[in-house]
Amino acid sequence: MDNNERYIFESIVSDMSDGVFVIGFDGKISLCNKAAADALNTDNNDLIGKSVAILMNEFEENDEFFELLLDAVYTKSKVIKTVPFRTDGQMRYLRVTTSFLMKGEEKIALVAVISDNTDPVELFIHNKRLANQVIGLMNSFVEVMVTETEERSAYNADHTKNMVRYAVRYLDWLTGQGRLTEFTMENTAPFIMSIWLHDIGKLLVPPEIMDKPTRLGASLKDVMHRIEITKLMLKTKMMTSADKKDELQKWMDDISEAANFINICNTVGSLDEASRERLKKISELKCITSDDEVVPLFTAYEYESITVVKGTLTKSERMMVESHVTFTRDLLAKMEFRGDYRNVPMWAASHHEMLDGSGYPDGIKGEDISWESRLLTIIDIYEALTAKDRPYKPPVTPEKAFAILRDMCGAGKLDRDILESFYESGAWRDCEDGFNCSRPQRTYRRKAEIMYEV
Amino acid sequence: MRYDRLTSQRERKMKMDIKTVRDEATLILQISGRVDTKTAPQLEEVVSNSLDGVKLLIMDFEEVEYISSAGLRVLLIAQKTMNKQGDMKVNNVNTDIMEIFEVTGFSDILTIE
Repeated sequence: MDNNERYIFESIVSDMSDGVFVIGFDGKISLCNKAAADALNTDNNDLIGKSVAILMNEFEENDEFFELLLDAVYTKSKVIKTVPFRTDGQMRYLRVTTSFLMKGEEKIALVAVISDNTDPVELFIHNKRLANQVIGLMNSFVEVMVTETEERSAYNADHTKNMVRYAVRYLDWLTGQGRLTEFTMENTAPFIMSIWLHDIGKLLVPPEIMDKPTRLGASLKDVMHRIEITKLMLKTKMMTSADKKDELQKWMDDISEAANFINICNTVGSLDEASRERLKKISELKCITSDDEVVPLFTAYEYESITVVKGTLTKSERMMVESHVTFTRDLLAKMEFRGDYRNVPMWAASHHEMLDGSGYPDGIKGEDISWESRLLTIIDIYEALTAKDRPYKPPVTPEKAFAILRDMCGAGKLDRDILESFYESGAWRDCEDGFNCSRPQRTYRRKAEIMYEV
Repeated sequence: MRYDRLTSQRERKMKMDIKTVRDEATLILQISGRVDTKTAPQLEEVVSNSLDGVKLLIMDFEEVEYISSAGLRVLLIAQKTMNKQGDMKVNNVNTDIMEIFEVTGFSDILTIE
């Protein structure tokens, strides 16, 4: 370098806003501009001629900074890193880039370029903290609202809470195996959020349908009331019209028998053909109102309800319950899910889709159903089957539940790999015997998860 | 699975061993492995508890693969203590670590043989 070049070089270095210092391989700082000294909160005349060892002695709390210089020497390559630097009780963040000064092939010095990154780093930390506050608020809000909403239902009140527990354990297990990234899921929070929200659409399904415990539900009272009035009216008539007594007595007997039979059919698990025939006959019976008007024993809705073959829901009620996923999708579509959370509505709303396209609401299949939705579907069914407060069936054991789930895999509905991995994880095991034993046993029987009744 | 391998590699690397040989006023520390942020406190403990009455401290670096700034700091503490009561030597330093000592100026402070 001639004198002219040296002059140009030195003035560039001394005027630049980034700090520069050069450590010769004799261990001494041979060049240092003002910006570098400012970044280290010292005087640049102070730094020249000093060694790293002496600086380490002066700046006792800044090993991250010195570590970086050592890294450059060890790795013999360029190192770029932002490190904290503490002086006078102040914490600053320095972005340091190292390189080597070469003379031909030989390294003659280590060059470090420093810029004060405190403002951007503090802004980043501040933003991160704000983001965490918002996410924390959102998570707890969703958790509290969903939990409280489910508690209002007489059945399976802990459904979502249990699902979240299984999912968290399963994801932890996958993480422990180092396999979570196989599913490109770096952030599990959005998936957990989608579980919390998957049944949110049930808010829009009338509770008397959602929780309909028997075929007639609240209508049973109407039917029985109608029959009682009829019996009273018949008794009165028998007193006044002695000539029609036999006819009236037969009517009375038919109606009484019908009442007994309706009560039985109202709660039975599934109706056989003979019972349906008999109900058809019963539906032809007439009742008398207190105004002495003759009316059919059943309304159209009551007749449809009492003759439901399996479960408690009529076709339109079943459709209403099934549409909770559409409601989930519609509700979530109105909310803002962005970034990592952008898929939450899709995952949540696809939890009744089956791989063979037989699910709902969209009947999508195979590759169109994401890994997250497939897992959510499996956990949803597993929880619904093993729940102790199930509608009109006792809980099945985990073994039986997995047998049912495996059958569904065999039928091409569920993802077998995910199911077996979930099984292997043991995330579904709540106690020694595997039952959802943390839940209180409920006495009601009935309701909506009938799509899983096998 | 890759994760498991990385962990075990890291665990292997994290190890450091110190053998102490005391011969009257001479203390030899035979150090092996990595002297880094994790392991340096272990060395510091030995240094701060074993130097009573020591006139010559020899640190044998033959088996040391790596030393971090935290490790250098312990050397600094040891050197300061020994400046008051005798001598300290660092022996059998490999070329990588020698380069570190040179660039950081520790070669001027320590007696390296």
